[in-house]
Amino acid sequence: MSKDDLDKGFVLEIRGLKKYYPLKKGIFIRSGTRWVKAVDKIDFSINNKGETFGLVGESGCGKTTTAKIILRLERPTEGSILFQSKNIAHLSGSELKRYRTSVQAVFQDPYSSLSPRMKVGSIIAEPLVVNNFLPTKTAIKSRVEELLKEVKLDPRSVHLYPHEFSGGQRQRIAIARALALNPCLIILDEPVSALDVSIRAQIMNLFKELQGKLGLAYVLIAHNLATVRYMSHRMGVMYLGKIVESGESEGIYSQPLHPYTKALLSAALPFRPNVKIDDIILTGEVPSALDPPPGCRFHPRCGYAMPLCCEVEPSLRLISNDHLVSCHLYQS
Amino acid sequence: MRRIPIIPLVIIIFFSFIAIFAPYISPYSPYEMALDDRLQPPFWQAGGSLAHPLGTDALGRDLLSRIIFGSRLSLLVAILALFLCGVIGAGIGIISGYLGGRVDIVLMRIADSTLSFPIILFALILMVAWGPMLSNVIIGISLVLWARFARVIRGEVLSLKEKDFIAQARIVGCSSVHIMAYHIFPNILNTLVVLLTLQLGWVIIVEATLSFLGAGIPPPEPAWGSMTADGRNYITTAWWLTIIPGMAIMLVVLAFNLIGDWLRDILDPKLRQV
Amino acid sequence: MTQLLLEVKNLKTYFFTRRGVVRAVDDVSFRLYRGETLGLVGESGCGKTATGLSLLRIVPQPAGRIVGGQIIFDGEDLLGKSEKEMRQLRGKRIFMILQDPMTSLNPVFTIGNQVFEAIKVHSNLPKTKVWSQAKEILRLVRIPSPEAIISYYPHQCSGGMKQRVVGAMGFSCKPDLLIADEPTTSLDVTIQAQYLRLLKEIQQWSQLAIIFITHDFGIVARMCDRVAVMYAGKIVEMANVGEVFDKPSHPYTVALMSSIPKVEIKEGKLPTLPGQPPGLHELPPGCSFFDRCAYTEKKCEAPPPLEEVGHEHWVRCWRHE
Repeated sequence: MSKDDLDKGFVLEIRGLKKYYPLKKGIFIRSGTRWVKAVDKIDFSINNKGETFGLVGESGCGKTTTAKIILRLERPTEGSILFQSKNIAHLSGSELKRYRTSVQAVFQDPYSSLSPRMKVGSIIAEPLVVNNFLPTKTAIKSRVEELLKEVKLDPRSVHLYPHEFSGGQRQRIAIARALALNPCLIILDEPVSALDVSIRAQIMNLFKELQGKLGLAYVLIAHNLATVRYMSHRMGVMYLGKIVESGESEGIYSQPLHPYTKALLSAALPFRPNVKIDDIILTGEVPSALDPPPGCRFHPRCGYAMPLCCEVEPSLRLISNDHLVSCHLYQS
Repeated sequence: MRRIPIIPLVIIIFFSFIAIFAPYISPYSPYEMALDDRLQPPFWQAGGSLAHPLGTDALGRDLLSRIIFGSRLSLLVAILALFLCGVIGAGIGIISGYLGGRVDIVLMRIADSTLSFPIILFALILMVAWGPMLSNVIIGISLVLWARFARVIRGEVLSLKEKDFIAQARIVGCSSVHIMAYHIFPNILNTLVVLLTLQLGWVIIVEATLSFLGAGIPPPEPAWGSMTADGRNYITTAWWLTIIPGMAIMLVVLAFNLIGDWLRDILDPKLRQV
Repeated sequence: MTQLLLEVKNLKTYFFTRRGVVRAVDDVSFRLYRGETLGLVGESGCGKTATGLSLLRIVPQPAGRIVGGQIIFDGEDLLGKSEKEMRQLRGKRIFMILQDPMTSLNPVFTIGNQVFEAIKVHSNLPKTKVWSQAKEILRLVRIPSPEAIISYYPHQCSGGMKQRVVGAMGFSCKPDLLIADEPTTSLDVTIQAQYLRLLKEIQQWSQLAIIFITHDFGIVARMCDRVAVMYAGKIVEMANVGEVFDKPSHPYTVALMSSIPKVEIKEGKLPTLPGQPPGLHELPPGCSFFDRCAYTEKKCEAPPPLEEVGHEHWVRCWRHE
């Protein structure tokens, strides 16, 4: 372990995180209310600075909800979120504000993540102003220009409005804003999927460059497995509110263990024609998080389901160095 | 993009002009009585003269002057009432829409309860309760109309709230008040402007109706509504006393409605059904 | 020997806007045979969707107009047909699937109703026969319980389900040509896999020709026999799918393909394409890829023609003249 590791400990540690949404029929929660179990007890961690943790899964798996909870846009129903060894799950007031300066985000849609009636300069300066981060207006102005240069945009952009920029450029503006408060952790929620294909590599490389330069940790939420492989060091595969497999990215890509991970990888189309595709085509639809199947949540669609899978939920087991899997196939 | 509707714009500019410069362009004082010249017809009829181009009323007051000063009143009431409406309506709409939850439910119940009353009846009741006075008319009209603003603005805010830049503002550490003021408000301005313009016609009609019914601006103020009312008794003998103020009301309301439609089309086509 | 189904010659579709003329489809030519899938690949604004709309002659008017070329479908030029004749063709012989199934389905009618209508419009079968055909079609697109889904409304169905229903409505008349415009972009990747497999199966037994419009090279590799890469309204490269992946020749194709991360390998740093796709109303004279190309020469100031550089391999670039 390096000195840095000993100093910081875990940057982010999620333990037993749950988020249940009530399906309310009025304004009160009565007994017998049903719950949408969007996130149902997950654990993962980012151990070092400069590390990217990829969270992969399809719609309804809970990855976006997890992001919202880490960003404290929502409160968890249960569980803890340890940031630099402090539980931020129920912080409020000035402590929450302080946490916010360390954790920022870049969202998917470059067209709705920038305030349409504010100039770019004000958008990037806002975090600095709202947190009294810098003493003078001149200091703020030069910091904004510095940030624009960091994301490879012309500093004169401060006078322009977001609609005068393309999607890729707007995403750079969003990144500049995210960097303003010198955060340790940035949540990236599908940061390139709304961009043109030829622009994606530019933005992904920018993220990597900034990570190396500033020691940023990222939680990368994406459904595109190629993107996740390119950018993440470690990852977790989510299905219906649970993490079914996690560990080092390369380990998972070269040797996927969970049947769902295998299906996901099989569905991620390779870049070569006429490949004999190891077709693991899943049947059926993703069930709703309102009434997850009993036992292992994946068993109705799993090609390897055994009778045990319908009754008992498997737990995450360590298979090899940092590679965890939640599946009865690997339980003994 | 539709071209600017020239005629309504000219009408509005014209009436605004005469309202602002009333004391300089009006030939007489609107209160000045000349009992020798009672009930003179407009200049194009037999018996009329250019001394009183639009004729005189039962007390010999010059109709043109009263129309000119009346425009002052109508526009003043309209602007102040709308301003108040806008402030209350937008304020409550934003707070209700953004904060949601119990605050939203309570505020919207209050808004709904005022919406269920017919506008004129509601205004009438308030005036009868408070007494006819200029300030009461302005406050009364705002109380009647704010809920319409609040409802529409709240709708805008609900959809705006879901946008990523609002989440970003929270992530960056902005307080709810800051977000409502600097992120929500500037983005509902378009809608607000359109609403104000569209409601202006209503406000003028409400004021005119109140004055017509004697519950609005009291005499001897030359409110177009009361002028129309006063002329009722003379409709067969001195048609100009009712028709001319009536036409003034109609022209101004129509002009504002047309401009409002045009503004809405260019700023906020979503409001087409309001 | 496969039959030639569609031949597009020098198709030009322009949009006349206040900001200028947008040459969305600028001299596009290609051929499509029965049972074959042609991939139309490119980024937003390259003209691939406009091409698809032009084939069906449903380009948004009045701004958009097909200003030149020929669309020879099964021997007849579609541009010479009347609107009435086109209406009989649409949905029956040529069908289009769009990206968002929600807008292709009417939210106030049940699934059953809509499939029923789709079948009835193009056939003269009595009601009972239409219902049984509807259920047959839904079974064909692998919808688990057709009897149940018939009474569902679109909002009660998932994205994948809706896309299949739209497909069912299309296949009901056994069309010759399917134009699929990014049909799986909004679907989850495992659902996409199911859907693509379904399309391949249907194609195998029905000799359906498909024009697959996409920006995803993975889909191209999986589904297409031939590929046309579009940039700024023109086809810049066209070849068999193997050729395009083995020997991409146009600088855009090369740069684009190398800048895309591949799921099967751990990449080092991805090379990037500088700049961004051009706005179609302000194209440079000469080669439209000029601003972003790594290999420009003086010649590139004149627009290059599409030349054959290999067996059925066409490239629009002066380097390969």
